[in-house]
Amino acid sequence: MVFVVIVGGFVIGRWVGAQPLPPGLPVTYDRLLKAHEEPGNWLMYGGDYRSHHFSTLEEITSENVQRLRVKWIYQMHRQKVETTPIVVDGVMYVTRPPSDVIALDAATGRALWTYEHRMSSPVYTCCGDVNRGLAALDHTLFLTTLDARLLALDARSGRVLWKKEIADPTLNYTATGAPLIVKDKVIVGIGGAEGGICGFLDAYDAKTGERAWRLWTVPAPGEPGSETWGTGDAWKHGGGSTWTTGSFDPALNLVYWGTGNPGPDYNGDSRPGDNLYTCSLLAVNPDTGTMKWHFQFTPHDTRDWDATQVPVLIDGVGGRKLVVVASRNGFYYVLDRTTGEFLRAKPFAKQTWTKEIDSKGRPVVNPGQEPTPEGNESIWPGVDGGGNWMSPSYSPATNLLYFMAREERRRFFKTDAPEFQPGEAFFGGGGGGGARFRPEESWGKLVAVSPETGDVKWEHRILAPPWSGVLSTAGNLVFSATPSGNFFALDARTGKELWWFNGGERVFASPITFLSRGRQMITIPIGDVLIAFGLD
Amino acid sequence: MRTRTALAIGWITCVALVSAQNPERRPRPLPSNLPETNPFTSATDLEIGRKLYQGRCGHCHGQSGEGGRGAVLNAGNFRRGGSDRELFVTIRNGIPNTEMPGAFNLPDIEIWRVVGYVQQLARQGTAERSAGDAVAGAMVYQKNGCATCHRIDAAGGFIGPDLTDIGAKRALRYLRESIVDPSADIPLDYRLVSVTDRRGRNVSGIHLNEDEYSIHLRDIDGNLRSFMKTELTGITLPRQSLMPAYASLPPVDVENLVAYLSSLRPARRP
Repeated sequence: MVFVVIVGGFVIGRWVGAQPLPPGLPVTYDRLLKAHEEPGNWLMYGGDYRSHHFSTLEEITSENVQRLRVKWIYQMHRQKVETTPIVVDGVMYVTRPPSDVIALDAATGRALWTYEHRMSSPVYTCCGDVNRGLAALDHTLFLTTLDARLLALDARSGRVLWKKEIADPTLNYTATGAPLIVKDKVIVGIGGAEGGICGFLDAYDAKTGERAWRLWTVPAPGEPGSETWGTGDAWKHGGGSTWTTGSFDPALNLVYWGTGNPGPDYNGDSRPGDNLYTCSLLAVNPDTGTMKWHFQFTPHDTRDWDATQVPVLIDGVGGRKLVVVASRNGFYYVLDRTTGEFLRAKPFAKQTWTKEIDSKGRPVVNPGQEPTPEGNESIWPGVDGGGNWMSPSYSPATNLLYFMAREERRRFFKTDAPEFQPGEAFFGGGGGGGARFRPEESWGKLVAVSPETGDVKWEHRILAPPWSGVLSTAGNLVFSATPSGNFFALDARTGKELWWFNGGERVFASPITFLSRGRQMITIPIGDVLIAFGLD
Repeated sequence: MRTRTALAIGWITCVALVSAQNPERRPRPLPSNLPETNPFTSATDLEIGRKLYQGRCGHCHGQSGEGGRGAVLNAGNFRRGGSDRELFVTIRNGIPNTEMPGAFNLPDIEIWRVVGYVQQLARQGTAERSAGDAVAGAMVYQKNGCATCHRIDAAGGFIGPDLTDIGAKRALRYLRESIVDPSADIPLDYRLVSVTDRRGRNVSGIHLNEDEYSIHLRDIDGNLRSFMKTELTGITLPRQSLMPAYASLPPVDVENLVAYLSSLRPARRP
């Protein structure tokens, strides 16, 4: 009897002391709507529906960040880790290239389960076998895969609940972005404009996987906007991919989603006109997939300046609902997110392609800023922007928007328009570097701007153009990383550098923060490892 | 003595493509049925190949294949093999540890078209011939102490680029320019950097590495030096070669030296 009591006490003690995994499910839609009220978790790609990528956690502050230390490392053994994990009450769900999912104990970095995706076919990808993350609803995780599938996984086991083909990967369609949950739907984008796809944005029923709607980003003849494509068949391979996750305003019931470049990327001869709705921000009704408004940043793009930057939703003076974008074309834009009205644009990086942005938001382009057969080396920004897909961050504490910017010029050249071929690129030219460009001619910076005006408050220069996003916290901190592998923290108000850590490899991802056993942690993939930091 | 040999640096490529998301430079597996001879050699194919070459290749190899920073292509000699298939592989995958990148994202049909045009250039056989005397040039090389900085096979220094295969890599005009005006185009692996510490001491050398917080160089004695940027008051990257300009060298010596350097070619490697 004594033995039974002792053993029973031990078992109960172990049970009481252990962290039950996973206790945080289900992730209801109501929780997603209030994601910003759960700072211990990171429930979606952008942190919340406004894509603020901000946390009210304040254990780690500008006063103590010097004590930040590595707590654990998870080895992925993959190249180009671009993922943003989600965290639900002690469990981190993270993707690794090409399309795998791992559930980790957020306290220790130990794997709880792994889902390894088997490709249905070889896939053409322009830019690596990447994946940027997951979405969660109830007990289910949603994953897009490189072979253009949408999968529902049981978050408790990694078991596949259903699998749907978004598009045919043998025709160069691919999916790399994190889905966005809106109500009972899973909204997913598509990639492959470099392979000659015709882009769209999709929504699927979260329970069944049935497609609820599809919004084509390139109109077919006769549809609104088709007059911007000339009279030929260019629209069939017109690009307009949707590979970065958008944002959502529940009050307006609008999803905001950026679209990619037209195709062929560098040769626009076969597609005379503005090429709607490429290089645009779309405001979409998530119930029906109808477009309420659009705003095109770069009409008739020939420099591969996708507008797939994360749109950030902020409220301006007087409560005006705004959406702001640091565009790949080098300009910071402020739009009214109710109507799509253009309010202002300011360059945040060196740009040579346009004289000005007019009162309607249309660029007044400079001559001589197009790709040429022999190569045009005069164009700033380079093919990769300006801005790009890396997450920006808005801090209500400082009322500043932070984003990483790329300063560089590149050599743009034009060749004959290619014929579409499965498995092959569809460029019509290139935007390569060229050994004539010195390192001093390309650099990067973290920019803090007043979000309503675009006025720069401070800049933090880094050595090379970055591929990392930004996290800001109520601890008066801003985190980001450099291509040198340095993960760093700045004072959110002043931009003063406070702490850094050499991770030893290029960073292609954005940091996030969460609570683990009551302690604040910060994590970011550096090279092919996921590293979690916390205070001593 | 400075000429233009440089090791590959991934993010600075002559012909690399970058695209909508961010660059990916990784060789693709070769097709299992890769033909030995070019299947795309019509006049239309060659014209498309010419345009592709012009945009992607000409700024290093010269618009007529006359060479430059890249190897001469209009002489019919290809170090990596001149068959259609060998050229296809070279263009598609690049050459490791050189400045020659792969056309990783170019469709195979377009690579074949470039192969066709490069073969057309090669048939011209119009490669420039040096008027100099290579044997006399070797004496110029010795007399001017070039081996203090440069290495040929196992002999020489380490400050400047290795010249062992330089004749196969660079056009004559490029070699000539490198001798008389070495700062005209400095390989990124041989950039001069000068740092000043808080005591006012200056250290110069070849830039080896740098991040936001530290910088690393090889000084002229070969010492590997590392500095935290907080310890420094100044960092300069002069657009100037560490090699002195030999503009005052008699023209005949320059031509002989060019002839000598041009003669430095490896046996064809497999």
